[in-house]
Amino acid sequence: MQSQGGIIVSQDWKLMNDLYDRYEANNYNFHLATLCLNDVSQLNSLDPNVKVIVVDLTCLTKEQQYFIEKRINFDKDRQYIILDQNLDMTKVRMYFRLGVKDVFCHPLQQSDIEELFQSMNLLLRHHANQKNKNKKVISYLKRSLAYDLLFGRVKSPKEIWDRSYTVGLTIVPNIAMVVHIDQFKKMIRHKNKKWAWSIRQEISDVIGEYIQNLTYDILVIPTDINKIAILLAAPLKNNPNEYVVYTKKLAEELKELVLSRTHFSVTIGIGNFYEDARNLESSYREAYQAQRNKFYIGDNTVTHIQDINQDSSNHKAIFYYDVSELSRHVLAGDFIRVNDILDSFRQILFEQKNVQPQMFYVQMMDILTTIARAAVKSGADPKNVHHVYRKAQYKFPLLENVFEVEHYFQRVTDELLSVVMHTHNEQSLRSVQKAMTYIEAHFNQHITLEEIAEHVNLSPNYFSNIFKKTTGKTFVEYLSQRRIEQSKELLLDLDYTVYQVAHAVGYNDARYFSRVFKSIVGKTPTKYRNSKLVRNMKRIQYTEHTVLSEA
Amino acid sequence: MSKTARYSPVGLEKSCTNWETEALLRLLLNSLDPRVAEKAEELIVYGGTGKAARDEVHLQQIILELQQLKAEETLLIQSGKPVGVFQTYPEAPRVVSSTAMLVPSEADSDTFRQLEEKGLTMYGQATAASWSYIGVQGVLQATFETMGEVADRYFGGSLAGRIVLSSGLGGMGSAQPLSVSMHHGVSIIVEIDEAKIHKRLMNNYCDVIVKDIDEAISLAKESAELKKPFAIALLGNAPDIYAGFLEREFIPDVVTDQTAAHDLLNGYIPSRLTLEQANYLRQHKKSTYIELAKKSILYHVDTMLKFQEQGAIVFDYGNNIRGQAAQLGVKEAFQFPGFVSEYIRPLYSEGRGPCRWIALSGDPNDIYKIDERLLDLYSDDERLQRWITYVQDQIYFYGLPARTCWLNYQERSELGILLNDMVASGELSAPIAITRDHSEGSTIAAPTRETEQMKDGSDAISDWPILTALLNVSAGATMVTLQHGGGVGIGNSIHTGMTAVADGTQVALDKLNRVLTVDPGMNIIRHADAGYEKAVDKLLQYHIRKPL
Repeated sequence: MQSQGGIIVSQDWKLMNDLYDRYEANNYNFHLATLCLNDVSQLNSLDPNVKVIVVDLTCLTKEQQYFIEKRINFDKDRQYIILDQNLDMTKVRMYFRLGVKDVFCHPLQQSDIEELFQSMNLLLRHHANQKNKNKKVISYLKRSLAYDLLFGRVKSPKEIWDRSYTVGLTIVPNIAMVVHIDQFKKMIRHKNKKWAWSIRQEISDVIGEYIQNLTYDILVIPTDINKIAILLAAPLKNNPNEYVVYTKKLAEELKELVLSRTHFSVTIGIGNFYEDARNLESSYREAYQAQRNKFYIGDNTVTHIQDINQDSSNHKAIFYYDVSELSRHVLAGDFIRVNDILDSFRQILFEQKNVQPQMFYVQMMDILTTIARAAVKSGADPKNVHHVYRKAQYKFPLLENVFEVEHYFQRVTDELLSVVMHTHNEQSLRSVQKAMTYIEAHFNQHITLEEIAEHVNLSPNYFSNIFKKTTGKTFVEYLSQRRIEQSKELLLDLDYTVYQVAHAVGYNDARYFSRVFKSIVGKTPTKYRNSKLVRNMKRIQYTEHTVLSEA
Repeated sequence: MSKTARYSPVGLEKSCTNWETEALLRLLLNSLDPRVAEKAEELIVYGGTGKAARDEVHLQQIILELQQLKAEETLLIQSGKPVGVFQTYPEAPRVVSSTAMLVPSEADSDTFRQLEEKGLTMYGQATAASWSYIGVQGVLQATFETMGEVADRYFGGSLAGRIVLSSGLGGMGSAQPLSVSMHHGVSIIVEIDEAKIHKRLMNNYCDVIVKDIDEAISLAKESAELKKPFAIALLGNAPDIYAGFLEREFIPDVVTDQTAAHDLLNGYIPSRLTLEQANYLRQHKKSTYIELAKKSILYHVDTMLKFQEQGAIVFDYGNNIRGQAAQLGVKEAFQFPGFVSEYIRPLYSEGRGPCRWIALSGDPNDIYKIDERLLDLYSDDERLQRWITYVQDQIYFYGLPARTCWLNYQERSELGILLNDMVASGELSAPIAITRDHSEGSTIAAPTRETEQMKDGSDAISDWPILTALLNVSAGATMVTLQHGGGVGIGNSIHTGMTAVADGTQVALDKLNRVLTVDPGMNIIRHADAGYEKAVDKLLQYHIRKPL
């Protein structure tokens, strides 16, 4: 019987044929079958779609009648109509007490037959209505059972069984899975709640569709805005590994189906099998943990808790590094060194495995805090620093995998350092200008890098660095250049000896001056002077000759 | 769990020719279900080395024989080996079995071990060889009733605020924490095998694992002060932990022990040894190991006696630890009583015993439906009401769904009709197997446990279990077993098992009527014969004929 219907059970062939003929002639809107009852135990194996049973008790033995009465008493899923002879008030009352819905007197009159079919029709319609009503209630009950199991709110095995049975499960759930919608928080940014729910619902519907093709029972409930829990009632396997293989295969299929139907990718975490449903809470916790493994392996993946090395004994909750070193180099604007340090951090941080994403977040923010503090201290605009820092604070929790985190960490440290660099560039220019003024005033004296660095309140190294970056020359080159330029002018004055010129531009040693001069100008000071004098002489001679000629 | 786990078939499809043999096949496989058995891969069901079949080859042959066995044939099992099939008649048992039986002069552990090593016998514990083991629930009610009796007798009806110390979380011992919790008490159960503790934590029998003795004491005291039921599994070696408690002058209210002390080699773990060390010595230095175990038993019993001296209620929980100590020369060993003579015998005298039924369908609903019927039918039996209500809330079914319940004579005699009726009418989805524990007055002769200190001194008389077995064969039980050793070890007991099947047929109904009347009836006769007045009253009440 494909859809729900009724059956007439009797040992009287003639009665059954008569009734069936009438049924066919009247084209009733329900299915009808007949069963010639040889053995009452035949009733134990009736089609589950048979919802109304008309039992003819007239030819049955007392034992058989007793059996039927028992059956009517406990069979709450079906409605019974009795045909019996010699009915009296006592008998009729007894049938109704058992739960019989209607009673007819045998032999049936023509009008009785019509009434019998109407009664069957009414009962079947009532049953169908009730079934539709129950469907909704069942869905509420399923959800409530699933939540109670996941969060360990039910501790009685009988209660678990009763509730499972009521919602139509044949096996109590024993494995939990967590379906995480990838990049969900990014997808729903600036969208309303309905939008978010509709995505989750779309995925739930696909899971529901997938379940329908399975031969065993599953409960599906949302447990977070971007997470759906699946409670699986897996059939018995030979060993724990078979459950792992089986559930991973199922999750892979489900993941692919969701992607192909919705274009949303999901990551699925799977917990261990626990036959006692009171431990499903543990399976759910494991599934949740397994799903977070996507942080390392990326989106659109499946992880069983058994795939994760859960030994956390080697984990360092705190990332140890030399805060003062990082801070000092940021403060000094030594970006090459800062970048070297950050590269080494990245290597250590992103080689970590089995560290909770939250811990990664804490470690990243710790480093960023150090850089931010140093940046502010080095004179960077606090507003700019806070802006970058707050953006990172918001962004990190949204990142779903270690690749994204690494990429973003690089980006945010670059941003912070560029804020610092910008500040340093302005400051550098001012410092170099100040240094150049000082050099201008004192180049003819004995001055050192340390002395000028102190004058501009910078470290000698840093000063040396920024001086070269700004002027394109080292401090010594610049100073030498300036001194030599001045010396060139003085050399033209024949009142000064080379020795005096050297002293006049800040060199104590004339021979050293000569070496420096030669390295810059290409000639010794004397040759330079002579070459200038000869040229001048020629010019004078030429001028005199011209004047005389014109005259 | 082994690589190729064995599970009982479920549902209505049979692989045997009739439901009687199908039931036995399902019970056999159920007792070897890795969720039920302690070491399914070694065919060990429970209690140290209690096996369901001698080895894998014999097991496969038993399965084959059961599948082929006709409704008028009987299969003979000799210590886990199928040794013959005879044509008998439909009302005869389908399987009769004798396990670990030795002539009295040779009935000692050493001889048994030698014969076992030669492959001539096997240890069948009690319900292991009779294929009626159903996991912890099977022994839970005896433990529950014992704790209830302790609570009634000494603590005003409840263990709230009381601390019970015991040890062993194997198949038998794991009933202890749950039973104490059921009576609202606090338990500290010492167990050396961490894997067993974790199994019990997952079963929800224990609440917490503790590895430090002081922490266990502190937790127990805190829970007792708050009168909150709490079950603490303490990792350690029982005799050493007991001594540690004494050193700290911590005296629990109740002290007992359920280590496998009946088996000095394969069960008990001597003081100061770790599990790994014990396993090594068991394999490589057996005699050294047994010597260490003997010394440890002396030390262990001595600690229990000291607890008793200092005011604790101390009793032997059926592992024969007193018997072992007495054999080693401890005269005072029997200063603390055994649980049966002290707390359980009054129940035996009224024909009450540990009946159990198993749903061959595999459907828990069948068991819950039977529960409901019993709760309705016997609404005035407070013990039954309390038990069923409580166990429904505590016990998850592993393997075939089953229920154990201490029913009295009348209830047992009515049970067969009720269940057969429910199967016949389709109320239950498949036939039901009805069986029982071996631990009853007439079904076992065990002078250090069930028959300890019988009123007439008949402790060692083992005619009773043999008569019970013969009677059950005559009455038409589906399987009848005779066994030696059980929970108290070789040389210390003779016992019998029985299984009947309610398959909804008239033949089954007649058999059930007979078996479930004679089996509990023998319990009353045995106790009446020993002079227990309650049993004599029951003879009269139930019109049981006892010529003398």
